[in-house]
Amino acid sequence: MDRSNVDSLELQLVEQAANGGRDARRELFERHRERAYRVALRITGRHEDALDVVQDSFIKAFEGLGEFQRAAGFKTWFLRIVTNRALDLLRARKVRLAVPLDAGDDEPRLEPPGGNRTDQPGADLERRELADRLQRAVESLPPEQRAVFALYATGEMTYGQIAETVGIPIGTVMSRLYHARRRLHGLLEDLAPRGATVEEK
Amino acid sequence: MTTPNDNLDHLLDRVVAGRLDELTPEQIDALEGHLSATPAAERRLADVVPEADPRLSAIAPVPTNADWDKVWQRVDSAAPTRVPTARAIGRTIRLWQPLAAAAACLLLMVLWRVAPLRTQPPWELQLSGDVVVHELEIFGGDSAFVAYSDDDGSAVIWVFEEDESQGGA
Repeated sequence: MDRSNVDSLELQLVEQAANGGRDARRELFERHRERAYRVALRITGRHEDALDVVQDSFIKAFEGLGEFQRAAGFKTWFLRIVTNRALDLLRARKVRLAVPLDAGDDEPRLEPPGGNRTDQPGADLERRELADRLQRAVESLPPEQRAVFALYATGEMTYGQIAETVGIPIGTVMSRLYHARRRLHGLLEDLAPRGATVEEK
Repeated sequence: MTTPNDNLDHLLDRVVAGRLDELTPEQIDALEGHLSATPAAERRLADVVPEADPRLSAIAPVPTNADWDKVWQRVDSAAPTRVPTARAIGRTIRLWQPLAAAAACLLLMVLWRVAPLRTQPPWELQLSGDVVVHELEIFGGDSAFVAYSDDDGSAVIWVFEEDESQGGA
């Protein structure tokens, strides 16, 4: 199925969802939830927060379907809501963290989704550890770089789509992505593939 | 002969080819400026998916179906039954435009009829309570007249302009 067919099917779903179609909403939810979760998780760094962001974003999107401009594409429009919501949450958390907490429980971290998966064998555990290290490194990025990196990390968005989603020029996307990757390469130097070097450390 | 733009286009070629990391921060700054000033260059990059990096692609496990079911239930229970589409909003706006214009015309007519009836005094009267005047200084030849009322200490200050055609209190 080519992209135009996908887009037209999605537009039909959006139209039906706007008219109260529950099945269409469910379909949109299932199509976009994992991508939205990955973006939200990259920005917020917490499983529960990411789920909250996804939930709030879908609610806001379904309430605001009347504002959806068809030229933009539902994915881009929806991910803009997700990104903004996640950044809002991040800012709110920073304000909250300005108050000293003795337990340190609000330290940003990646919690294992599902809660009780630690008994799963090696490869999965290693994968999760890598993801955890990467997430901690991502959390050291400034929020504006983090948002661009989160959208880039979906692996399917063009420079133009990222620019449209975040609301910045394409050149700024390139620049933020460059600096984000550079910083992450420095932090994750030991993960470099054999023979590869990080430029200009 | 190569121009600075040729060099920038060469840098852009490398980004389009997925070699973003090869550039220096100074080159990135220059290229960012070039992209913002050159729509054609920006269009070249618009449809490019940035190159993936295996080191930066570790993906955390996605939520379980039980997680998603909970999220969906909350979304579903909060969703409105029907949302006005952009087209419907457009129809509503189109309907209201002539009505708003007619209302504005009517308002202007009423104001035009009423305005001449409103006569303004040649001076402006301002009433103030709880005011303490420590010093009263008059400039430019204006004169002031302070009239005390009764025993409660309240006073009225009249300030007359030099030509006495206008005054204020």
